[in-house]
Amino acid sequence: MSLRLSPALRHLRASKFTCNNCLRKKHTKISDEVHGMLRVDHAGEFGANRIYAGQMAVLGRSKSAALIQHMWDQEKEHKKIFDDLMVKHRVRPTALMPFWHIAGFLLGAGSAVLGEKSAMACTVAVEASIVEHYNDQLRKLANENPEKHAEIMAAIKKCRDEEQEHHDTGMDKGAEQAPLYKAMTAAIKVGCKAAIALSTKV
Amino acid sequence: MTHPLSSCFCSCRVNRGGQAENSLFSLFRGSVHLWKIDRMLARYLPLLQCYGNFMGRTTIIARPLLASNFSTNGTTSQDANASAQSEGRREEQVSSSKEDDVKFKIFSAALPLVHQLGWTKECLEAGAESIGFSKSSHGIFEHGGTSFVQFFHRNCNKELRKIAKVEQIESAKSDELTKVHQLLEKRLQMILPYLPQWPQAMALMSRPHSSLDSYKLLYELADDICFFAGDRSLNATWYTKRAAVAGLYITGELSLVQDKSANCDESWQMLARRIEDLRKVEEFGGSCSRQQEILKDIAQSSLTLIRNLTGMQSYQRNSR
Repeated sequence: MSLRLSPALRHLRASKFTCNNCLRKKHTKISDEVHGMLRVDHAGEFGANRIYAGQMAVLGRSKSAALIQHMWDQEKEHKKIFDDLMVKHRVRPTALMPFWHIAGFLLGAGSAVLGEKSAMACTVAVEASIVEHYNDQLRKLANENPEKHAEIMAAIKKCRDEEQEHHDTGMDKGAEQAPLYKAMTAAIKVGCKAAIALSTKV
Repeated sequence: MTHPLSSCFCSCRVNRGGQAENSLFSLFRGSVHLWKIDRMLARYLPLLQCYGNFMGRTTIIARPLLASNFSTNGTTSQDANASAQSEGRREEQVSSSKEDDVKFKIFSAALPLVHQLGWTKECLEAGAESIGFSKSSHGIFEHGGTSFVQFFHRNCNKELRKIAKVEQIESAKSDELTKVHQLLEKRLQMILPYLPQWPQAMALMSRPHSSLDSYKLLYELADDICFFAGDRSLNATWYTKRAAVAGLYITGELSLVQDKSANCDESWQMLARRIEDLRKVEEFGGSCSRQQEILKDIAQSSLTLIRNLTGMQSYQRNSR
């Protein structure tokens, strides 16, 4: 059956090989779940940036400033990676960004006010829960479709390895000697879990 | 709760071609096992319910989608059943794309008739008839006129995306708000041919059962316009920009519907003024962010003050 299409609608048949959603050639469309993963990772790296910014605001002239600055620079790089992935897949950022902006800075500055060792304890707690979270994501992606998500998995792996490094450096710098180490890390870990759950959805 | 009609169409989708009649016939012959009755009841119950609910509208129910598919030839009912079961899954997959195709054909045939018949079921009916489909095949649009309008919106969004891709390359230099303005104008121009009927379409879109889909379409539109205008923000601005664009589109629609000036000039001027307003807001935001440096200094010095007050400075000095 032959059918004449109105000119306004003809493109629907023609545009088969470019992605409808962005300017690139057709790339594999990712599912909503992976969108959520990218959203929470982006929010996490953004939060980590703010934590280090808070720590640097307080400890900017102390002897561990160089170390914190180095870790911050790495976090900036991570955020850049996820920024690019977010734009590429057109993922909606979490609506809680302004909140993480303030909360991250306050957590960093607050822990740094208690001393360098407390700042390290905060880093250790945050990085530990982030590494765990990245590992969960990697397992999920590997189970689902490792070839399709190769790029995202590579990004997560790189970030995870460096976060693990931060965790170990924090331990080396005497995080465990901070006052109320156990209570503080437990509280921060609970906070991180809640933040992860919220940022995936909202 | 879903619309009662939608469940009817779900079962229609799987069992096209008059199988409903076939299997019911075999049931009466007594040649079917008990487990088959069970399965059949599950399958056809919604259909029967629907039949009860809509006795007056028999044209919608259990009619095959395509006139050519409707055949009650000599094959025995059991053969038909067996083959239907083995191929059921595959057929379901194929049918969804086939159905989209049919929908698209009916839709594009009905669109020129909107001027006479409005965004109604009757218009879809006439469109289907004009290209040789059964008159009742408009039934695949689950909510009649509302689905028609949504289909139109979706197509306009797709078309805008295509236009935007070309524009992006041409006008790479112009700034974001200018591009937003251009794209919004292009999108609003798409509804111009249907302006006399547009209030009806807006009313259909704002009905409770379709409002969720309408919001999704509006979000899709705002997201596309912002993305192709070059917005790459990944913070709260992402939300404010999209909300502003969606608001502008709705305002433009409302003003177009009431516009009595030649070529709808007043509406286009209104749109340009709103864009200028947005530009002013953006400039104000820019000047605010320049004050951030000062705020930072204040925060830093107050932190030092707190540290001194609580004695943390001396604690650290002693612990070294």
